[in-house]
Amino acid sequence: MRTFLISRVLQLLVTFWVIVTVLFFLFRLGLPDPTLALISEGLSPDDRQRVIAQFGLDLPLWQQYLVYLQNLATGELGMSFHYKAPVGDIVFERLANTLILMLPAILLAYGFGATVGTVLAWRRGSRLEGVGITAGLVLRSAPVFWTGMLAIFLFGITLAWLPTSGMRTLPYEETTWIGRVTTWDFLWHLVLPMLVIAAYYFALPMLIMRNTMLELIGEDFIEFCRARGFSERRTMYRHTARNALLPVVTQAAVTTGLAVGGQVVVEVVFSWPGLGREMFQAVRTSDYPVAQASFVMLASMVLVLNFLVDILYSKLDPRVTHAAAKG
Amino acid sequence: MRGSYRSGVALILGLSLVLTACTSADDGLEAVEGDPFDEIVLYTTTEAYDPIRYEAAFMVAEAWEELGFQVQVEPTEFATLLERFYDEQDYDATILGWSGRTDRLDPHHFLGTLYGGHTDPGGNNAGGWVNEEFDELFRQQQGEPDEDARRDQVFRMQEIAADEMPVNILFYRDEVVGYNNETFDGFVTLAGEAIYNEWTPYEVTPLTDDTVLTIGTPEEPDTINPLASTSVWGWKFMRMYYDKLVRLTPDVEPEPWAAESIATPDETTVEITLREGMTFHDGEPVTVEDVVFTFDYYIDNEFGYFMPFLSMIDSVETTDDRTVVFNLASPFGPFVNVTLSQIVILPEHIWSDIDNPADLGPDEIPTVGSGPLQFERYDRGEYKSLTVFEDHFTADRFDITGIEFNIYADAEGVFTGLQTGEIDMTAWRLEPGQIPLAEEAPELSVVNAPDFGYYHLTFNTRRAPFDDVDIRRALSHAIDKDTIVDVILDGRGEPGSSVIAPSNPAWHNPDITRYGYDLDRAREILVEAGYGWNEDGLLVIPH
Amino acid sequence: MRSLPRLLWRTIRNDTLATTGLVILAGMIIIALFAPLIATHDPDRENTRVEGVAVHFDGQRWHPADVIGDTPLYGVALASPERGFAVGFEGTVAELAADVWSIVDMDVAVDLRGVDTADGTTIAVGDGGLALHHAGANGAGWQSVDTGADGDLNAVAVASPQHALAVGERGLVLRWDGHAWQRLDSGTVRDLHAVTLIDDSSGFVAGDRGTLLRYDGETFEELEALGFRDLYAIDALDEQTVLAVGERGTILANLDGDWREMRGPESRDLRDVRLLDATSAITVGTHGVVMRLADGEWVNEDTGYGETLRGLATADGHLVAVGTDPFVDRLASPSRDHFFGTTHLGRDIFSQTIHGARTALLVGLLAAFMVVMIGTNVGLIAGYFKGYTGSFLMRFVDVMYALPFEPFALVLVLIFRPSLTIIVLAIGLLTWRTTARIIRSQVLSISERPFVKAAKVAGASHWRILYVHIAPNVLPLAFLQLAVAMAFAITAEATLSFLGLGPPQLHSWGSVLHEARLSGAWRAAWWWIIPPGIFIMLTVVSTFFIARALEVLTNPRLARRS
Repeated sequence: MRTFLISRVLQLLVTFWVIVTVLFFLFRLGLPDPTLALISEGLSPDDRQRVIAQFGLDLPLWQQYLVYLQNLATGELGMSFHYKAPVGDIVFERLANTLILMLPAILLAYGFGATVGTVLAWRRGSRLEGVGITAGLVLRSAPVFWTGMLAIFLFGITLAWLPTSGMRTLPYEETTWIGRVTTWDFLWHLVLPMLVIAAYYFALPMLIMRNTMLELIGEDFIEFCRARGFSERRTMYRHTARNALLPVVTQAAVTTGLAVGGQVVVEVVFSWPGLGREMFQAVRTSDYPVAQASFVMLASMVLVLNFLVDILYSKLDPRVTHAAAKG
Repeated sequence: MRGSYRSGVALILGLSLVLTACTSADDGLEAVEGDPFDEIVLYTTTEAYDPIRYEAAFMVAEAWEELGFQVQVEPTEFATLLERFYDEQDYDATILGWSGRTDRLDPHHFLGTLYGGHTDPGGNNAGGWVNEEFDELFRQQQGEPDEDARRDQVFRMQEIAADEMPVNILFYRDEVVGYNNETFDGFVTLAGEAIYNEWTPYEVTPLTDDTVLTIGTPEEPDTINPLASTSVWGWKFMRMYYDKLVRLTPDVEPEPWAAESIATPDETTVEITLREGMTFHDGEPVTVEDVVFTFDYYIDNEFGYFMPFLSMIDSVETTDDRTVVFNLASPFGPFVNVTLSQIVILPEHIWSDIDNPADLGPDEIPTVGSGPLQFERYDRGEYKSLTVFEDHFTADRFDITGIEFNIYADAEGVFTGLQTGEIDMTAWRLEPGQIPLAEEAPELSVVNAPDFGYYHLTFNTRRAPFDDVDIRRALSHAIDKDTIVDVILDGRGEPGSSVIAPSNPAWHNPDITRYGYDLDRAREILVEAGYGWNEDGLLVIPH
Repeated sequence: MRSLPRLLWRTIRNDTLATTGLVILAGMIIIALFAPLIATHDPDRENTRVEGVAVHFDGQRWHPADVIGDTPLYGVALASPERGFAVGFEGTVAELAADVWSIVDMDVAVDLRGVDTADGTTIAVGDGGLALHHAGANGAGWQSVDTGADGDLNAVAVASPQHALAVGERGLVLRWDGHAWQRLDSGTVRDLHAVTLIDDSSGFVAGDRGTLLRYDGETFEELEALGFRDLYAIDALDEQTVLAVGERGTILANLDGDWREMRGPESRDLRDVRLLDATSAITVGTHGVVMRLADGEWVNEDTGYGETLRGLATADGHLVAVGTDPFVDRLASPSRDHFFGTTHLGRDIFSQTIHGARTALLVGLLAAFMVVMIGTNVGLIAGYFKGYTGSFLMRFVDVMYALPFEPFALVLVLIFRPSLTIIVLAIGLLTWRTTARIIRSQVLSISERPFVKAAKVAGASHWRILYVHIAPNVLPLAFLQLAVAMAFAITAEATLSFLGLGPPQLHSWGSVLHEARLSGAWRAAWWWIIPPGIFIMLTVVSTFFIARALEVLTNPRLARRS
């Protein structure tokens, strides 16, 4: 177990280094010079050279790479070209914004999905099961940016029940991040994007739960419960469902990792000031430090959660069938 | 309702008609042997960056193809586009734009984009056009003290440029902004800036008890460090709480501001007398030493953004405790209008201790000015606020007590804020789809403000065939600017003519050559220049 | 295994949902193949409409626009609120009688640009020096009168049956004295666009570049130009009450003895103006602009009509404005012409959606094949060669897993500029990881089966065992992954296009939605966002339905239980 852990940690670090390196060269070689925008502000070529030197962009690439690695090792993420402020301040807040949207949404999707999955398995072969599965698949097939637009159109514009963009109403009183997200106003802004994401992710836990339960129903200990004369309801919920929950939980962890980086489009539709949206903008404006830091942070989320799932898998050996959808 | 079958038939009929028309129209133009031109690659922005320039490029390409060119439109990410255009100068033709900033009301900057001395990589004249007469006039107007003489020079330069067509000015786009007519009135509209400008705070009067003007915007300063900000959004905000020696009035006349009077004893000397009794927001008096310090500080720190305004300064000195003398290395006509109206006065007692001002962290940036409004707060991505500075010499001209800015994630949020009454006005343009909705709402007013910035199509005159003025003229006749404005801008703009826009009437030359949309005329020009068409209808240089 | 196609077919046929999915998918493929034939319009064309309209104001409110025929109207004159004349494109003449406009059949082919009426005499003028006279009382109808001029006439003003003035291009001015037209010297060569007469001996003319002429019954005096803007219309109550309007919202006023420039909230072209009294006036212009002058200030007025208005007339507090030029049929709701309505540039959404099927299916199929090809092979090799090869491949898969798809794909597309190839590559290269893992675990268990061992004993080569003995057994799983990957690829393409990273000018469901959002117009135009989304949903769900049936095939335990 110990060697396994050590080897996994080493793997994690190597993977991390590979990603950081690939990104560094991809961004530096692929993206244009970030000081170009200064020309349209009227800067002469000489004056622009000074700015380039100020950002340290006049050094040879390998030297910039070493500086970057060194800084990264000490947790120094550099200065944003666009914001002219430390990258760390920017990306950590954006990451928090993303998490506070994604975590409740995934929790909701998995809680609700697992429950419905249980019901579907219990009522297997019934009309309800068919309807449930079809509805789940249909929800899963609607692109999340489209359901987002529909939701904004319906609840935000036509009915004007819910706010449609950003995290809160301006102006505001609180200035700390914690203060901001513990207001009713914030929850009010959270509702629509959270429901849209939850609706998208809901089908996966539902199907996993149902399938796992169907497999378990044939197992001996379930037959044993039945034989003991436990009610069908008790058998389903107390015994089968509890055992079927493990694959759902591990899938939830994987999904969380992917969802944090995978929903740029939701942040765009709802103008949510999250990490994905920040990265998208940073790449467009050649703000390498922000783009790199955001991407590395998104990748780390996936890496760390996958790592945890791996550890979990190695301890337990659940029977998981991947349902008709990818995370 | 046209069925697919019928549309197919119609297409074939149409095609045969077009073919017959072509053969009859080309009676005088028999197919000739020759090498067709290489495909023209027309660079433009992506649709997401600017749908207007994106659509315009395809309209232009279609007409050029009709003329016998092969055209490939290449929508490109904005940063990449700038790199290709300015640094690499590797393009055939590119659609880009210049924004209308108040300092550009003086013709110097826009004319400079055609000046032969700016053709190096990274320079403003990326098309590489060089014309001796134009360049000579450009140098003359720069030091011309007499305004009428300078106007003649500037008019002549516009004539040359319009005739030679190195850059085709496509259109000027109106800024369409909105405000709430039930909370405030008296907004001042300026060309290029619409209603978010230096004068609106003085002129608006509250119609309710709320005396704080709330402005909604999706844009925010890159930084509020006056030695680091390189964006118009940073400077528009900072110029509200810093003073300048000169302000430009809504009619673009220089008005002595922190300077009480300005004198120009000769072409290379400018003398200003500082207004008496001014103080910074922290109570310290504003002195001539502060003024001298500010200019020296900017020059010593080589702050690139301001260098175009400062590079001609030889020295700045005081002669007594109210007079500052600027000694210029060479005559610079726009010195008062541009330089003195752009550079803000910094307090020496605060900045003199800061050695590397560009490296200040967000929390270390001083915000003490002497301007009419006083800095209160700025939270990135959220909120900014200013209050009226009661000791300013213009304090009694305000009917408002302060200004606050709500910073929204996007234009969508700004519009919702306007609809719900969270904000009183927008700082930036409404999206085309929002304009009709604002027009329908009785409490909202929509203002169309012409811009003197422009969108241009620049030919790379270093390359064949764009080194041939006849090709540029013919291509210019094949740009349907009227339709671009009418359809894509919904009429909110004006077909382009000169780099100095009609909304800058003091310098715009209305009598320059205009290249109307006229494919027949374009073909004539090409024929006269000795070009022909091969049997595929492609333009060729005859053997 | 020999009849895998038949097995797949039977599996799908036996499952209602899967059959439905197959039918939908087949439908989409047909739509994609025959898109140009099914589409009713060119998806890139800005569809335009043209009509002649009159918009009435009855003293209280503006009425909905009256559509009079299908040719634009350029000028209008009212004799009374019930009686009026309008002229326009290619000899169009319409008469208002008893609240109803009707088109008069005329044998005229040139454009009529102006009309005016006074004391029963109505005169219309047009291109080529044409003048048409109508003397209402004696019932003679419209008659062409020779003017002796061949320049285009742009406007006419009638003071009385004995006195009228017509103006036109290059300084052309003609006077009607009750018997004949006679040419006057205007003293200018600018194009003249408008004329107004106060009485027989005074009036004003306006034209290009701010040209303003004062008329004293015989001669013209050019006033000093205020600015360089073209003037399109002028109206005067007396010598001291004059308004002229023109291009780019130009308003020149002489309301208190001095000429000055006024500004309203509009900067678009103003085409006509009428003074109602000494302090109030109305002006109309392009794109439905209507402004009213009251209390010294111009304010926008909403008539409910949004297209170009060129002519304006007033009588007893009633107003009528006429237009239009060909205009773009913007944001039209679904109709027989446009099944799914139009975009803000008048493009047909139905045709765009139909063409979008091509992109979706092309990307979906290509990317899915790529995913399955890479994923299956990596899975096979990694599962069979369990040593260093397998473990290296799986570590590589681990690295791939750490790349969040959406951000990485958009970085790739941003760096390598959008094209179908890069989108397919981005999807293909980033998502084979799941397939590889699933196939590998299947291969791990198959390798332990007796027939594989038997083949080994028989001395078959590794590659032969892998591709002849093992591969066919993972094929159903590969097909399942194909369906899943296709659903994913279609969604991914739509997402990238929605973010504006699709290839330019290529119609895709995502790019239709991208444009809708970008324009801001989707707040009102529901028809713009619903169809493309439904198409994405139908296509993706059809592959899900098929995938479900295949899943049962690959995992018999599921079949047994449900």
